[in-house]
Amino acid sequence: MNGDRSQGGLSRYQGIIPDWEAFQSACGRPLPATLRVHTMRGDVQNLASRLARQGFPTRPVAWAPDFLVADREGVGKTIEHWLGLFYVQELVQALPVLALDPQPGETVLDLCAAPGGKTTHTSDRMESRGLLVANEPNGRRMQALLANLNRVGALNVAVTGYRGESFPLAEAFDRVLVDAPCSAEGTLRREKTLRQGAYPSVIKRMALLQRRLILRGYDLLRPGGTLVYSTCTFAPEENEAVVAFLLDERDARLEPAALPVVASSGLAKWEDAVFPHGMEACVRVYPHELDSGGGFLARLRKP
Amino acid sequence: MRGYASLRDDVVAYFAERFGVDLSVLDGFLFVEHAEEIWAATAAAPPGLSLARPAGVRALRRTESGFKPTSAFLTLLGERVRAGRAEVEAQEDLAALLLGKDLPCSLGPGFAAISFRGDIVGCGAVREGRIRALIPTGRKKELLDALSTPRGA
Repeated sequence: MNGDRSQGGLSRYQGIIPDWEAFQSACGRPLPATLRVHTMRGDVQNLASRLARQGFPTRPVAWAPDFLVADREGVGKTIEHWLGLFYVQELVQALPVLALDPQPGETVLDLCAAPGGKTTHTSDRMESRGLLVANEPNGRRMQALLANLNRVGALNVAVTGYRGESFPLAEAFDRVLVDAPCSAEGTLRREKTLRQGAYPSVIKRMALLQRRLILRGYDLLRPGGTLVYSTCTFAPEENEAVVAFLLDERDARLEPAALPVVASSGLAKWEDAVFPHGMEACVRVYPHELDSGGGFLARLRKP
Repeated sequence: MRGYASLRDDVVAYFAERFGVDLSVLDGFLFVEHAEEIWAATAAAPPGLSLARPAGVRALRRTESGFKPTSAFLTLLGERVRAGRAEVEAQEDLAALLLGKDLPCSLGPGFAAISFRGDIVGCGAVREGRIRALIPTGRKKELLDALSTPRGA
């Protein structure tokens, strides 16, 4: 059994989410249809023109020049999508990669990679230069990852199937993305059942896994390397508490993520827990602040 | 054991001769052979990792008659494929190919790049003046779905 969601649910966040009424209202609105252009396969304007000719007019996103907003659903069923010219992706999913800021020529690990949206975004930001290791232990999810890598033609991505928490320490990476499995409350605009909040037992189980993942992700960094930890949930137990666990266990340094969007800061405390100083550098994303899904991210550096 | 330079030379020469791909297009690529498959990549994975899939894209297979290019790599090369293109303009013709029918083709025998209104959509085989598609089954189905999606106003 997963427990009783009525014991709290999303309402337990009423004290931490700014403008609660606007949040609730945004949660009931459909998500905009957004897509990310694979700039290694073609430029944004060219794709926008092609889609317009197919009957899918698009609009640019001011803060994300490789994203477009489609005015109607169905853009994922076009030949342009089949060709791998773009990836259907929520705007919020861009933020962990922007915070990671991967550079051409680096060695990067995406520890929890499926289905591949952030992997292909990272590869694109690396201009297909340098190595990106995409790791996914779940066989069925790996199939989705492989299909997406094949479709977009990711030339610098190798795939491994380790359990993230036991990924071998033989290699050191310049950057590691830990986009952890989570209770997914931030997907509530797509998944209506999550509008009641996640089950407490799911949050508890995920938080245990997330602690193991963030530790291993950090240990895989070279000195001076950057880790981004992200989830698509609002639960502080899976977010600030996991980052606080890493700060307690390792000499990690929190850094501002410097994102080009309006978002909320990380929490200094939650219920009985008081988090370490500096947690405001973490980023909380809410659907009424960014017209997308919700999530959380933290950017950390290894001294 | 065949040297890497020899493999690379063979691959580059094949794409230049059969598909008119400029030699410089493949300059930044590494070609790595796994079993009978040759992968094209811009990075090599470190030896300390057990890979579920090598870096890059499956580019070619060895067959008894020589190389066979993959649909994925031809699609990725796209407009840089300047020869060996079987041009298809009518949606009905592409759908017929995807459904397993063959169509007349003026190219010589061997493998070809099927081009639909300028986009390379995969590999075909030409024999006795006719071409048939060699696109993987799942991808063929997805492309048929895309072709049948109603367009907007």
